[in-house]
Amino acid sequence: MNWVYTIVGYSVTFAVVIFYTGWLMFRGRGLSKKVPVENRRYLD
Amino acid sequence: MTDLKSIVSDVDNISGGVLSVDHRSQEFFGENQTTGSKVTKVIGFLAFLALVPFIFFALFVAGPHTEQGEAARLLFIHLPAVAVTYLSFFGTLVSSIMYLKNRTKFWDLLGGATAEVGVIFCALLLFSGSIWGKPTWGTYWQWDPRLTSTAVLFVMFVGYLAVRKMDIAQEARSRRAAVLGIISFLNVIIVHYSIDWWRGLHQGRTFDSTEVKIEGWYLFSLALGMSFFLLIGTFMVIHKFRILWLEHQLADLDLQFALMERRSEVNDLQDSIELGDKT
Repeated sequence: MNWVYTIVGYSVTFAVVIFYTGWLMFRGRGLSKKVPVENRRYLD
Repeated sequence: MTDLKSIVSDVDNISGGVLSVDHRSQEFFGENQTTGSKVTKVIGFLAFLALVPFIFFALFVAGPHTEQGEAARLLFIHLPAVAVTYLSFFGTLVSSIMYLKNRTKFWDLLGGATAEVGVIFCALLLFSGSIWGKPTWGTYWQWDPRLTSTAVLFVMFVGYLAVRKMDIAQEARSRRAAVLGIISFLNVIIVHYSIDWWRGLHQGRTFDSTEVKIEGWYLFSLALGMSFFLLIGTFMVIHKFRILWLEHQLADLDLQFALMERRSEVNDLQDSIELGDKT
């Protein structure tokens, strides 16, 4: 039965990592379309 | 700083004080309309390269442990989550000290980015440890010194993030957050040495200065997990920093835009008064 805990642990961990990474990229894309390129010098 | 007149000419409408752009001028907003860059693309690609073999070796190659069985595989995500949490909160400490010394926005925002990523991984380490504890210890949670101090660490950094959202002057908010960031990091030291200072349920260190208590495919799987978590943690911190930077720039542009609007209204009022005087 121990494998159930392993599967749940891995699933939740990777779900959080993937969701958070996706949210960061989505949010970054939205903001980049509002801020002029001159104000985004860190990207250069 | 961008010339505001050029912004006005390029922005189609303003709603709720937020610049809203209907057409996407490449010259104005650049070709790269994301927070990605060459560096983050390379880091993201390397993270993916580490992820695939990590899953394979951790779940299929490394056999079940003689005492812990299949649950031992949870340590391949638990220990890397600990490493990323420690490093992220160390980043918050360094950023907080540097902010108090230099008072630059860069260090303030870097502190916010590292703290948020640290909180995410701290939640993951608490979760993975808890779900490992049930089959191994027979309980999800115990008020053991290591577990309790880690929970306190999590709450303190959630508090740090709450302070960063306070509706007060920017300078005061950044200063308070920096002070709290330094105080909160002291708890990392308590967490780390809690297993030496107090007797509890939590096991000793897997790695210490004299001995490595893991070998073979377990060590290899853990190394792959460590690589993936460190790479994805770095990727997250860079993106989060850029998001905070963009939010800061947008707030700055909004403020300047609002000031320009007020000045324009005053000018219009003065013109109408002068016109009224003449007639």
